[in-house]
Amino acid sequence: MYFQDLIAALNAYWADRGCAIVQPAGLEVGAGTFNLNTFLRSLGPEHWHCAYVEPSRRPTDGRYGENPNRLQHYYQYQVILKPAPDDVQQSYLGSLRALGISERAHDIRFVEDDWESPTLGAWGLGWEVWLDGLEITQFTYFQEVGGIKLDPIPVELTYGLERICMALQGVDNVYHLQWNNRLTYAEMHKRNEWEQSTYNFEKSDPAVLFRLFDTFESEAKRLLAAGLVLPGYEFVQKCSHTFNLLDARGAISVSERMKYILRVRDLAALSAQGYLRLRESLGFPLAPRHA
Amino acid sequence: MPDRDFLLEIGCEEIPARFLPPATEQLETGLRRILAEHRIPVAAVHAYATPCRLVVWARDIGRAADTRVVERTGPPWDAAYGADGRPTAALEGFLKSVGGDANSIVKVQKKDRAFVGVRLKEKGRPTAKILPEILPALIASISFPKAMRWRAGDAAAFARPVRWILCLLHGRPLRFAAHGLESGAVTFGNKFFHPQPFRPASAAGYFRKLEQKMVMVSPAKRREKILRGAKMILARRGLSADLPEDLVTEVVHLTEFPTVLLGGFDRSFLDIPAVILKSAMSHHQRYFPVTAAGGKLAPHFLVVRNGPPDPKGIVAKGNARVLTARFSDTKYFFETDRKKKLADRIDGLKGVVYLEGLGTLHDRARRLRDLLVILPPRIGIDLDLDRYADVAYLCKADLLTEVVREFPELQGVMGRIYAEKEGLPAEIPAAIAEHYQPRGPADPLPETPLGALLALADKFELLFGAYSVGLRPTASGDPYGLRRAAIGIARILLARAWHLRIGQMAESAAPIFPDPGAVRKAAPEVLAFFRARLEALLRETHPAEFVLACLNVSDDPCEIAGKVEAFSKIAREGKDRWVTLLRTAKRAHNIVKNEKNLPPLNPGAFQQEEERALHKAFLDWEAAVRRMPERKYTDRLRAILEMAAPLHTFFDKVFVMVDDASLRANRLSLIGAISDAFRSYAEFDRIAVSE
Repeated sequence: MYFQDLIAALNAYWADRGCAIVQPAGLEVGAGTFNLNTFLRSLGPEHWHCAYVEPSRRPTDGRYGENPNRLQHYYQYQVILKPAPDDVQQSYLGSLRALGISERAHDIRFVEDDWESPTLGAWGLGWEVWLDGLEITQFTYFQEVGGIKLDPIPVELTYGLERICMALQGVDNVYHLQWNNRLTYAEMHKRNEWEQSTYNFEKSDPAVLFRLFDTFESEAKRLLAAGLVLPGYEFVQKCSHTFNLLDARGAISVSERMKYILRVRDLAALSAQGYLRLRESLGFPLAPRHA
Repeated sequence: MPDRDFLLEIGCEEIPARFLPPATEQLETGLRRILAEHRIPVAAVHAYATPCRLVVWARDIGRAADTRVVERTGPPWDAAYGADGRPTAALEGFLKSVGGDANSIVKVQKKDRAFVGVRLKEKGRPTAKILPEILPALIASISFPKAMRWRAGDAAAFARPVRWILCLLHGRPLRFAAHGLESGAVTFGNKFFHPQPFRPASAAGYFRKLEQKMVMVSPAKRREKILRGAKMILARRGLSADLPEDLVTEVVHLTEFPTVLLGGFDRSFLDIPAVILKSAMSHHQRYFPVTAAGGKLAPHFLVVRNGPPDPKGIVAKGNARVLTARFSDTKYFFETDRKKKLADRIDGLKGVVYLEGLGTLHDRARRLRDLLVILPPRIGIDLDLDRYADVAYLCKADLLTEVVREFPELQGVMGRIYAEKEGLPAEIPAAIAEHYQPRGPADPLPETPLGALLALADKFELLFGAYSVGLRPTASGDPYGLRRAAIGIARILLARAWHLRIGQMAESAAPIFPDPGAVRKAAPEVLAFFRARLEALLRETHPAEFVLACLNVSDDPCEIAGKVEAFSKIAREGKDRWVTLLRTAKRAHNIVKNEKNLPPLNPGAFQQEEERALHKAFLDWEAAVRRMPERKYTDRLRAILEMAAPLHTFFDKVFVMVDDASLRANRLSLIGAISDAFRSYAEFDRIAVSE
C-alpha cells in the first residue's frame, strides 16, 4: 500500500463512520492535538467526529535525514470521536483491517499509556497500540483539555502513518517508502530533513526566536482578551512552535524551560475558556437536543 | 449437575498490567467480606484477572442468607404485667408489633431496670435479592492508582472503560446496574480471535468455554503456559533465558492467551554491551533476553504474543524488525557517546538543573566532592583524594550520554562501561557504578571502599539538600527517594562497620549547601527521619524493645546496632543472668527516675558502711569499664552484672527514703550516678522483664 493510499484508505474508512474529513491546521504544530479540530472542539457538550492528516514538526527529532526512523517532520493521522463510542476499539481494529492488517495474523496490543501535554494543560488515559511490538497508534480518552474537565469524553486516535506504512511495505528505512508508484518518501522529504535539521540545530537565530515568542505571546493575549478566540489561538500555536525551535537550538536552560511551558499553557487555558464562552453564546449548536 | 456457584465478570478495555494484581486482591477480599456481612454461606472465593476482565468466583454459595435470632426490646418489665400477673395492653401491643408470642419473651436487664424482650428468628433473605443490592458498591470500591471517566454525565471512574458485566448466580443471570450497564448472561472471548458474544451456562462452563475462545482466565495458568513454552523453545536449541519474576508477572497480565515465540537479531549487535541490549529487550519491549551455553547473550529473544502460535513467523519477524531498529539507534548512541570522554562532559553538568534551589548537577557534584573530604576523617579512614579527585564529577557525567538519555535505568552502569573503556583506574569505574547502590532493599551494597564513600556522599547530599529546600517524603509517596537514601546510608555504615555520628553530619555539611542555615535548621528533623529508618531496619532482625532501648542513646548507627546485637546475645546466654541484668539496671533507675535537682554526691556524708562499699564498688567498676575497648558492646553490657551484688547488698541494708532530707538526697545521688552510668549504655526501662 502506497503512502498516499494509506491516507486515502483511512479517509474513506472514517468518512464512512460519520467523520468529517477536515484538513491540517495550516500552521506549524507539534502534533494533530494542537489543531483546533481537536484542542478546541474537545471542549463543551457538543458532539464532534472528524479525521485529518496533520503534518507535524518536532524540531528536536531532526537527524539530517540520516536516521532511518526519526524525522523532524512527519505525518500523523488524527481521529476525534466525541463522545467516545462504546465500540471504539472494534472500530479501530476495523480501520487496521481496511489497511490490510489482520489482527489475527499479527499481534496487536493495547499497552498502558498515560498521555499528557504540559503545554496544552491536557491529559488523558489510554494506550499505545503495538503491532508486533511496534507502536503504531496512540489511543487516548481525553480527560482534561486547557485545564478544563471534559464531558462528554472524546477519544483521540493518532496513527503514526510512516511506521504503519513501513510495516505494510516491509521496509526498514522510512526514506525507502513508496509515496506512490513513482515517488519515494526520500524524494518528497529527505532534502527537507537535512535543511530543516540544519536550521533547527545550527542556523536558527535564538535572538530572533525569543523576540518572536514574546511578540506571538502578546498578540495571543491581546486577541484573546478582545474575544477573538480563533486568531488568538493561532498565535498560541505559533508560540508553542517557537518554543520548540528554541528548545532544539539548546537556547533554553532547563530551569527556564518550565517557565516557557507554563507561559504557553496559560495561553492555551485562556483559549479554551474563550472558546467555551464563544460556543455557549451561540447556544452550543452541535450539542444533542433534549426534549 | 446444577450450578451452585456465583460468578461476576467485569469486562473492560485493557487495564494496565500493574493494576491487575491489587485489583484482584480487592475483589476477592471485598466479596468475601460482603458475603460474611450478609451471612451468605459460601465454600470458597477466588478472583482472577486478565487485561480485559476482572473475575470473582464464589463456589457453593447459599440460596439465602443464614437464619438469625434477633432480640427486640419492649416495655419495662414492671409495666408489662398487671397486678394479676396478666400481660398489660403495653406488652400485648409490643408483641403484636414485632410478631412475637408469650413463648419468645425474655427478661432484658438494662442498667438497673428490667425490660421485656423477645427473641425472634429472622429468616435470611434470598441471595438473589441481596447481591444485586450490594454488587454495585463492590465494583465501585475497587481502587486503582489512576482512574478515568468515559461516559457522558457520569462521574464514576474505573481504570479503563467497563464494557460488559456478566453475573451468574446458580446458573441464572443476576441483574443490576453499574457504569451505565445492566449486568447479564453475556460475555466475550478473545477480542481479536473470538469477539462474538456468548452465554456460558454455568460458572464451570464459563472457564471452559473461554479457554476455547482463547482466554485463560487464571493468571497462574497463563504463567505456567509461558514458562512451559519458554522451556520447550530453549531446550530444543540448547539456550537458556533469565525469566525474572517481575517481568513474567507483567507479561502474564498483558495477555489473555499467551504463546511464547522465538525471535532473532543480527549477531553484529552483540558488540554493544549486553546490559544495554538486555535493557532494550526487557524494559522497553517486554522480551526475555536469551543466553547461549556459557552465559553469553545469544542473538535471540523470547516474545510472548497474545494469541495462537505464529506458523508463518509474521509476529516474530515483526518484533525482530522493531528490535533491530531500536538496536540500530542504540548502537549509534553508544558509538557517539564513546567519541567524548566522561571528563569532557563534566562542564555540561552546569546546564542540567538539579532540584529547585540546589543549583545544577555540577553544583551537586561539587558537594559530593566536598563530602568526600568531610566523611573519611569522621569515619576514621584514609582516602587519597588527590588520586580520585574527579570521581565525584565523573559519576554524574554519564547522565549526559545518549545511551542514558534513552535508557535512564542504565545510569551508573554506562558510566562504568565508558570509564573502563577509557582506561581509568579500576576504582573509578567501580565507584561510578556503585555510588547509586543500594537502589532498593534487595539491591547489593557497594563493594569497594571508594564506591561506598561516594554512595554515602550521594545520599547525604540528597537528604540534607532536599530537606533544606522543603522537600519531604509523604505517607503515600517519596518521589525523591529520601527513605531509600536514609536506609542506604544505614546499610552501608553497618555492613562496613563504619562509625559515623549522623547528628554531627549536618553541622559539617551545612556550609557546602546554598542555604547552610536551612540545613542546620532541618538537622533535627533529618536525624529523627534517619532514626525512624534505622529503627525499622534493625527491627527486621531484632526484638523491637532492644531497638527502642538503644535507638536514642547515640546517633552512630554502628553503636546502636552493636548494642542491640549485645542485648540479643546476652538474652540468649541464659535467663538468670538476663533477668539479673535487667533488674539491676531498672531498679536503680526506678528509684531516681522522678527525682529532680539532686545535689552533687558527697562521700563525706555517707553514714553506713554499705554506702561507702557501694560507692567504692561503683568507682572501681567505672574505672574498669573505662579501660574496656569502647566498641566491645557485649562486654560493656555484661559488665553491668558486676554491679548486681553491691547494689543488692546496699538495698538490703540501707533504707534510702529516710526522713532526713539531706541524707536521702545524698543516697539518691549515689544511686543516680550509677543509674546514669547504666543509661548511657541504653534505656533499660524500655525492656520488659519476663519471669
